Amino acid sequence: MGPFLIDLTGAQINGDLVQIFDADVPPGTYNEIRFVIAPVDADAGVSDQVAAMKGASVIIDGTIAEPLSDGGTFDTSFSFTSSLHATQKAEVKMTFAVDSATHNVTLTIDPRNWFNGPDGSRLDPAFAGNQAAIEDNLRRSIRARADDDHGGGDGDGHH
Amino acid sequence: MGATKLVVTLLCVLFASACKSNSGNMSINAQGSASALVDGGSISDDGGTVSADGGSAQGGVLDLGQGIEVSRARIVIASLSLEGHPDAGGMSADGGNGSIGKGSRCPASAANPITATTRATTIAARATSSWARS
Repeated sequence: MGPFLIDLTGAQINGDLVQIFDADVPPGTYNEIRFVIAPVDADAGVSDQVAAMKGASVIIDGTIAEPLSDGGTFDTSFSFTSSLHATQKAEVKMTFAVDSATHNVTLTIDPRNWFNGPDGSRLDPAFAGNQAAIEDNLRRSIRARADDDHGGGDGDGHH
Repeated sequence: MGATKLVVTLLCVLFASACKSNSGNMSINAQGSASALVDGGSISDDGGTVSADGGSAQGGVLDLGQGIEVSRARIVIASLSLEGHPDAGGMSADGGNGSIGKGSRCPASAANPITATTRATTIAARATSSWARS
């Protein structure tokens, strides 16, 4: 299924749960979730939200504080854009039956280290030389899990 | 001849109907997890503040520390699928026949919500704050 867009703003980035969509699944037992982060052709009959990505797979908007000579800072807006391709898998155990309760799959995005280098230094998203390192961080920051209780943590999945 | 056509039509309707009801439901959600703090951070359970390094998350902006704040993140999931063992020769959840469920009983058609894959496109924020379980 897909493509679809995860669009997180404000408190959603901080941990609120956002429902993306529901889907019908054939009855059976499933042991793996696989998802692909990738750009999508805007002409491929996708939603307006996906089309608005204009060939990017990730866009992060924010501000970065630049130091001033007087010791203060000023904020500069940035929009980090990437055409990252990444495939992620997660082991789960989900059994679907006709008319049974809905099972939840949660894609968890951890933004804490998006702009941190291996040594903890800041990766300026406006500096093109940091593109690959930030994309590596993005790749590691997203995972899927079965989460029927919406309880966070590792949920029902096996990782 | 007319009777033959009628029978064929009825079979198709029953077949499509069986496929339509013969499915479970899966809800896809997304969640940021910045509330898992790094050293020196703090978190309140009143929905007010999240801190990664002494910064805060207020007014819809997440402070990642080191002078970087994020207000919006958009990520395209090109595809999502389940791998496993559909019952009765079914299909993989991505709407195809998958690597396991070959010989599908449910034909790809507009009448079959499984092959249509995404039955609904509900987008709704759920106020399930993560603060309470920190």
